[in-house]
Amino acid sequence: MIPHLLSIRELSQGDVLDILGRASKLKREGAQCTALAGKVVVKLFYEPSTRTSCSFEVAAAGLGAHVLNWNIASSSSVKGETLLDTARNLAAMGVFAFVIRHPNAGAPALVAKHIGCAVVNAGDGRHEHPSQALLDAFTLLEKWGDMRGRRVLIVGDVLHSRVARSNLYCLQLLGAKVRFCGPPTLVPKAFEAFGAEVCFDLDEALKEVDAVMVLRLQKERQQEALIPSAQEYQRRWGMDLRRMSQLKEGTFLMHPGPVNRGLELASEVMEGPFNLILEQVANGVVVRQAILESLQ
Amino acid sequence: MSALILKSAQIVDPANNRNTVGDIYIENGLITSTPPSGAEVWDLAGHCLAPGFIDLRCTVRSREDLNLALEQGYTTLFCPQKPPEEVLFSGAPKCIPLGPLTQGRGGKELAGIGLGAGAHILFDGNQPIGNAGLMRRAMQYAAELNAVVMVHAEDKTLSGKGVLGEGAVALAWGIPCVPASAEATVVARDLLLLEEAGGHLHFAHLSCKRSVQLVEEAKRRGLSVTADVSPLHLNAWDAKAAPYSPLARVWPPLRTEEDSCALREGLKCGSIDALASDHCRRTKDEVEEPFELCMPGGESLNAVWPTLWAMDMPLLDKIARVTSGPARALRLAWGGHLGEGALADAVIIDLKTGHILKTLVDGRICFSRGATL
Repeated sequence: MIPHLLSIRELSQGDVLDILGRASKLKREGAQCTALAGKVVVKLFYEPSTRTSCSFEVAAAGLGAHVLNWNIASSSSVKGETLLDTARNLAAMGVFAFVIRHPNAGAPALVAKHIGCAVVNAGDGRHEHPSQALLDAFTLLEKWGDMRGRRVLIVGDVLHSRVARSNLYCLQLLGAKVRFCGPPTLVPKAFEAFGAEVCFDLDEALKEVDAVMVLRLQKERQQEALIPSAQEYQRRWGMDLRRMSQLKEGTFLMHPGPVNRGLELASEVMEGPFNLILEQVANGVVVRQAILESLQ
Repeated sequence: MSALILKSAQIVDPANNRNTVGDIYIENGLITSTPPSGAEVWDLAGHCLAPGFIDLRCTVRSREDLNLALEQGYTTLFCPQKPPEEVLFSGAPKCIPLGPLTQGRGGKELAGIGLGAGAHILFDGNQPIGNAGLMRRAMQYAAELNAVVMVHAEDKTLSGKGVLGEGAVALAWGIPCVPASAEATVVARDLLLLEEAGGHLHFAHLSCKRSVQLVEEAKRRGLSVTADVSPLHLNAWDAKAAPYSPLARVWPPLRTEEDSCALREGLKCGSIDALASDHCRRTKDEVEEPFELCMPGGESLNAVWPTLWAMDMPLLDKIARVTSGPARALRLAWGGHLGEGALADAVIIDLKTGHILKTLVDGRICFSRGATL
């Protein structure tokens, strides 16, 4: 049991295994639709999200919780209300847990510190996206059984990616090695201090990996002069059939979504047999149920 | 105004390279060379008498700030923003606003430098001058007026949206970071401009090792340059801070322990001339936000003297960094020393504990710890 889920970094291996174990059980036996009966879960999303938002909603509903969607467009934050004031007001209505997505790192931790409810981080800035890493680990463990001795390659804009950070910590916690690859402007060498392998040549990076996790490239990166052009990015760091053929048999392909088809992933590779993208989405629901169940 | 004879004090006056036991005379708010008649006499045996402390940058938002300044030995505060009239009181430290270098601190056109009443210290606050040509002309113009240009060294194209120094900590917190080059390239640029333009340049709140090295090297070449650091950067660095703690939200941003050590060393050996508070008390609203949105700043007036006192350096140097150092940085003649004719701004310090016992502004006791000496 955990009081909040703010980051993978502050979880122990035991915490992670407990959540993944619960998710397995939920997947096998189905969710108890009374587990969170009478409880209110508020989704506080300050950034657009489809996958994560829907996944948490389906997960909470499956456990019998009442889900409140706090929508930024029609809310008082447009009238200048601060995050904490919004959370305080909602908490006063009797809330079991907040699920928060925010463009600034540390926003869920701020709410957790000041408000007496459980908080689940659904993505904060470029800090962490713990539920994504847990569902990714769950998906890989279903295939492999054991993470030890495996190597996962994460390709793309690691610098701005909360998914990359959470996955780095989670995969390492479970015994896998993590390799980062992408343009030098988007993959800081300093990640080596965290135990990651860092390289810039994707063809080299593909050697001896057991799974490739491709990150979404935000279109703004070109205007920010972090990459010369989308075409050049696609040529140097996009996964296409040629690169897929360099992988050893049985290497899995993952993506946290939404995919830019033809940019970081060629359309043809989306159809491959070792593509886990839809399994990731399906597992997202049980893993998020496990997370909500684990909250004290 | 009353006259005072301060007897048998350990007089520590770095500007006059004095650290001896002796007497100081005060009459009409000034230091005099002859004992005034009918003066009150204090025996300061065992205590240190030093010039009143000068803060190079202090944001005064409330009366509380001014009282804290007196308690900490300050008699003069240079203020990036003019303090609100209602917080000032008789006996408060002198608050001297720093004049703008560019119009509206917008970094586009020169401010009315030659028209400003006594505003001979020019500072655009934390708004950097991105335009090197403008900076060069500002230095040339200021040099002719004997005005001091105070620089916040930052290249916005490098600092971007950063809120913490570049490194593993910023990566782990997942926040935009600022490379040291955002500061050091501007320090290098402005030193090169100073060589051509002449005059005097003062760097505010240096935060990285490379900047300290550049200033050291410029001083060796004989350039008229001074620099200060803030206790916010001496006492904290990225890895020491609790994640997302508003205490770590300062500007320039916190950097590595190595940078912090270099700042300390610079302060110790004198390549950094002054320790400036950069005090800015923030309201609860300003810090109860996600880290990136918190207003940068900190309560640091009360950290300056204790930081210096605890450092391993001679007493004369400790006091120099808050008296003669800032006075040299800003080309002040009237303060920062205890020579004849100086304003009778002084502090009395317990030599055993380092506590500030009394603060005198213009010869008047404006703060007193305990009843008697």
